[in-house]
Amino acid sequence: MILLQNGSEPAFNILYKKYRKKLVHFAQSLLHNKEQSEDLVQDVFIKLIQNPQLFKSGNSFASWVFTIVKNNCLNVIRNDKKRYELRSLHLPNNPSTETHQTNDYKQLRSKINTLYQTFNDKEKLVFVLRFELDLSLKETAEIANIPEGSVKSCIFYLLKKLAPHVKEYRHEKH
Amino acid sequence: MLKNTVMKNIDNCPNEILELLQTTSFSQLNQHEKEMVLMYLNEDEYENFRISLNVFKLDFKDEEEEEIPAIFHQTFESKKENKPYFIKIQAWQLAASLILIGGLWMWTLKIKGNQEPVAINSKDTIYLTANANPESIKVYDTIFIKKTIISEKKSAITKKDTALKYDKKSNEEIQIDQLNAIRNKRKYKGIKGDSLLKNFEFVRI
Repeated sequence: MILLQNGSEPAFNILYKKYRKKLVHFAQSLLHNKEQSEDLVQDVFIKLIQNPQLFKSGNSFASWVFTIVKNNCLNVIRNDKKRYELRSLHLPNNPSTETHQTNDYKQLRSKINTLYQTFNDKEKLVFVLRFELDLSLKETAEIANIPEGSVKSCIFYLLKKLAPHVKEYRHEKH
Repeated sequence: MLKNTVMKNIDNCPNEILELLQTTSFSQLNQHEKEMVLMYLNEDEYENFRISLNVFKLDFKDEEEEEIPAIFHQTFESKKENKPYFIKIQAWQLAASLILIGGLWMWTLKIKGNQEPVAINSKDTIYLTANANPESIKVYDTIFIKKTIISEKKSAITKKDTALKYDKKSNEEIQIDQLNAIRNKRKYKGIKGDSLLKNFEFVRI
């Protein structure tokens, strides 16, 4: 990120390759629209090129960029609230792994998608950031703008809910 | 022994357990880690939690093969064009250029100082002392006149003697010639012959 702040295009390319799909997936989990999410993430990356000095060194780049995407998504939702209230909530699929998924995993995923709809906003955010995108506890707390302790409680709450389905999946697998 | 102990609330577990859940299976934990984990979870729960925490992770490895859209390269190029141009120079170069500029400036000032005087349009406040002719100056001042007035009886004044009446309401001026008819109520003399009027022409009644 320091290299990007000095105008390095290769540094940007590395960051883009590392984070683009994760950010699109995250935006998609909030907006439920792939095209809109891709456009939004592209705009964020353009802003990143134009104003790299907005990132303060010492902070986590992941936390910073995910927070920007989250805030932009929330702005989109706020501006078009009625449309988003009517839209059914679902987890976006990951196209890169979809083809490699086993039937058991697809069944588990389907169950989790149903379960996901029962989660509140905070739980959905923690699930996407921590379980799917594999961000750290600290990064998840920063992006979700909640204390680390709350994130930890939320993770264990989700684990308790997910565990029975995972147990079933384990037995089917073996 | 560990199985019989009362389990603590998992929400209060140290962050270390969360890290272990993500990286290590129960069988791979050392004795100390197992003891710590079993204070909060049994083995089966630990394994379920571990799989739950890892099974939903999304794979984004294919991203590395993806090409970067041209729009980002264009944004970089347009940013470079708008960027102000800076040249890195040594300290001695900076000092030398400052001395050169300063010298040129001083030399220019010196040339300007040797030039012939030129007409300059300027505005300023000027105080002039003029020799005035004292005879032409009229001085107006307040003059106090003292005169002894002999009081007489009011009964001696007759209204019939007043030939001309002055009406305050009318704006007509009374000429001095007409004042002969007005009798001084106290002296029974005409105002026309009054010394005040004779000496000071500006006095009007």
